[in-house]
Amino acid sequence: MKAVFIIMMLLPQFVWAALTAIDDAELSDMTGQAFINLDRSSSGGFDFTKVTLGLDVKTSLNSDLVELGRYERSGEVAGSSDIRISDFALGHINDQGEIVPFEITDPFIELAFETVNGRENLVGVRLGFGEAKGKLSGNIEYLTGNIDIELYGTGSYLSSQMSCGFFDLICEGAKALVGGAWGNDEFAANASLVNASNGNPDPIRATHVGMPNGSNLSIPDGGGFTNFLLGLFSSSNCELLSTQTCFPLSLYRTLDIGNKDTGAAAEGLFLSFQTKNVGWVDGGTTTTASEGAFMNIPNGGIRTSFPEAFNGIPRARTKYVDPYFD
Amino acid sequence: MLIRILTNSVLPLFFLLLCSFTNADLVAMEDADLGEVDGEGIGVVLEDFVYNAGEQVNGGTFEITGLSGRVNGGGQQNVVLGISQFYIAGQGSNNGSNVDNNPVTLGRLNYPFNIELVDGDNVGVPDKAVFEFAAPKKAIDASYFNFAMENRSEGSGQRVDRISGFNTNVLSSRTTERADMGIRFDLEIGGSRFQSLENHIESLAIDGSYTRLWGDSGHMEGELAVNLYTPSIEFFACDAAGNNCGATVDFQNVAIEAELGYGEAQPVTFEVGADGNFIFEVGSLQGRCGSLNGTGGCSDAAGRAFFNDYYQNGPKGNIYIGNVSVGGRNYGSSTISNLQIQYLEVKSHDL
Amino acid sequence: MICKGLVMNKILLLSALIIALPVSSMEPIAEDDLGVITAQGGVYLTGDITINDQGGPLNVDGPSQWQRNCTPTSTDRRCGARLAVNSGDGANSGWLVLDNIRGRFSFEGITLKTRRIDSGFNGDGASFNNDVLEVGLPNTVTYSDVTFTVANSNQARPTDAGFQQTDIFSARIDGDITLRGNLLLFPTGTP
Repeated sequence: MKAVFIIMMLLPQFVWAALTAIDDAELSDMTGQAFINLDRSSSGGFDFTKVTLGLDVKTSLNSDLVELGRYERSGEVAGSSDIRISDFALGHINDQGEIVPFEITDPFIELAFETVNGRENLVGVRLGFGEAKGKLSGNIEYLTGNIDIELYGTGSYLSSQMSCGFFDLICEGAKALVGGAWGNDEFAANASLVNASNGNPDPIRATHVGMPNGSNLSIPDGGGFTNFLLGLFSSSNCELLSTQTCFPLSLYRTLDIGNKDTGAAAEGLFLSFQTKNVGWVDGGTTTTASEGAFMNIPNGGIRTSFPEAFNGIPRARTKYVDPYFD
Repeated sequence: MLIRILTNSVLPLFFLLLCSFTNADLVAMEDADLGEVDGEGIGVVLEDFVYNAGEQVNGGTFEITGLSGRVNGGGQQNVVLGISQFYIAGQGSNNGSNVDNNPVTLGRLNYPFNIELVDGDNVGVPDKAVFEFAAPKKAIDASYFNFAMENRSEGSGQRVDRISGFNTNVLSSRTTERADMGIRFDLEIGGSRFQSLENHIESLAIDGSYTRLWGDSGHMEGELAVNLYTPSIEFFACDAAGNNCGATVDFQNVAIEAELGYGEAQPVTFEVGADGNFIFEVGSLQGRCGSLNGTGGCSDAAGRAFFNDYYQNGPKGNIYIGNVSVGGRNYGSSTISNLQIQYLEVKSHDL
Repeated sequence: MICKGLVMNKILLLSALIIALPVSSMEPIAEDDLGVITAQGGVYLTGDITINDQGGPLNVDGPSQWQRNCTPTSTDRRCGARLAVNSGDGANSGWLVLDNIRGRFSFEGITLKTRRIDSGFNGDGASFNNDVLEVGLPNTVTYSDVTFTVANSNQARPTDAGFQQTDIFSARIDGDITLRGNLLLFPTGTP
């Protein structure tokens, strides 16, 4: 800005071009609203200031390392980080050698404040995406946040993954049902960050994702009774009907953000840093982010089939000469 | 002797008269000719520099208007950012209170800011003259960062494991050439003042940053390098009057080395589209392979050579924050390393 | 190139001739008189620049379409000066615009002189040992109702057919700004 002032100080008069008459209709040709919006809101004891940029971003990028919050935290492994992803990439290269970019719409930066003893403390900052769509690749070593993965698949596949004990009649019965009568039905389950040793939800520096204790399968198109029966069996300690339900994050080398079947983008994706638990608000939803670095991939953000969940998702090509391919 | 007198006085006079009557047409220089231009540049040093402006500095008005915003989801209202203070000064500015008699010298006589027309052959834009506006060069042309590498367990080659140290001797700016700068602004929506936000950067060096611009196919292309080194960036909020300031969020030991664009191979363009919205683009690397293998990668030697060079020597970004400290608590370091952009398109639209 | 060299030679030649000829009616100044002369080399500038602060010439004398309310706080696009830049290919691209440029700047004491630097600058002066052009900044610049707007438009001028402009932000400055120091300019590189 200073440079502009100096230049303007030294500019001579301007020369005007030839005039042409314009009519009133042409006079209303100025649009006022630009691409920056500054909003202010309050919720849950916090005040938020949000700067939204009306941008459509398409990108293909690679990074050796994305690491946030590398500090010692009680109850966590020494040397771990809140978020650590190596060989991180957004976007991918398809079989025809075309770059399929990661798309972001309306990114924003939001600051959270809390008034304590008359002083306004800055307690959190987040970078959010109004909408996001595309492939996110990486070796996820540690993840802190809220990841809601929708699992889906047919009963026949699920039953093939169930290994029942010799005398476990309940398990055998369930397996027969899942693989038989419900063999062609589409099952659904929700997975989130868990502690692999006990199946409890573990949103801080998690290394595994899966069905947390107490969660169960459902058949979205099934009847009430079907889902009632399914509700009787819930995942415990990373097992549901003798099926493994927790998996290391490093198996999932490429995640599809958004719905790759319908092409819908994921809304509410954000990366935040806060000094205490902060409830960030998106539309009507409040997501409470824990202290430190936090990544939020909301419901509908990632949809994965059961086979992918069990076997992992291979990494997509992200470079034209790719160390994982060539 | 006589011949010498003639040569020295009459001949020049004769040619001088010739020059006075010569009437030659001007001919546009070809790009290739311009590409041979490599003239002197202009070095710029700001000696004992102080800049101090703002509503609370000398009174008056200093504001940014024309933005819109909402309060608690209501209707769009006018947003005014009143700038209470914006300053650039020397060390020890104490968050803007010690500015006026605290100057800084930006640039060094042997490492000045530089405006120059460089030979494009040397910077990846062959047969063109490239306009370059550069911050003081580094004392040693190397990265500020030292990396510890690790082998890929499932792929080939190595990647960055962590940043293991810093080459502080790479920078040419000394403490007397590093500025303190800061801004304090008040947020006002629909006529009501909501808060004051302050940002202060200490001892900032920007050695090695530059902007290069050239023309191609009728539009402007460029290449950017942004380097920032600062021991402290602080943010904090105060009440509407600028008092009762809350806890400071302090980003300590921040270093950013970011490059965008790779000469003619991957130019950066900034244009306004036909609809009046701007488009910022970092060129796509698609189509550089002569032939592809089954998974979309390069299989021809020339293509592989180009991409191996790009991934090894091409534009990279490294961002490092040594520690985030809030109210006495430390939240550790953050790193983004070896970030390379193969394609970026940013288009604006009205909200 | 040759002509330039010859012109220099011409100046030398003419200067030589002038000096060789006897010059009349000049008298040496006495030492006492010389002693009272104090002079400083260089230029000292004081300025007051007003740009379109009442809107512009067209708002006063122009056709009716340009008659606008151009009070100091008006942001009407027919007021003030306008600068538009197109960095694209012209036909299919738009313009980055600095619009509604108006106001008054005044300053006192921009100095312009050459200076030999062979010391100071924390040791750099000695090794630099060269001349620079020094532009002394004026200490205080006074802005009176200076405004400008950054915008995008799809056509160059508001009078072009189908013109649409989107304002991004406007700035307004009214008051004093402290701007101190010296701008030093010198050649670099090897020609």
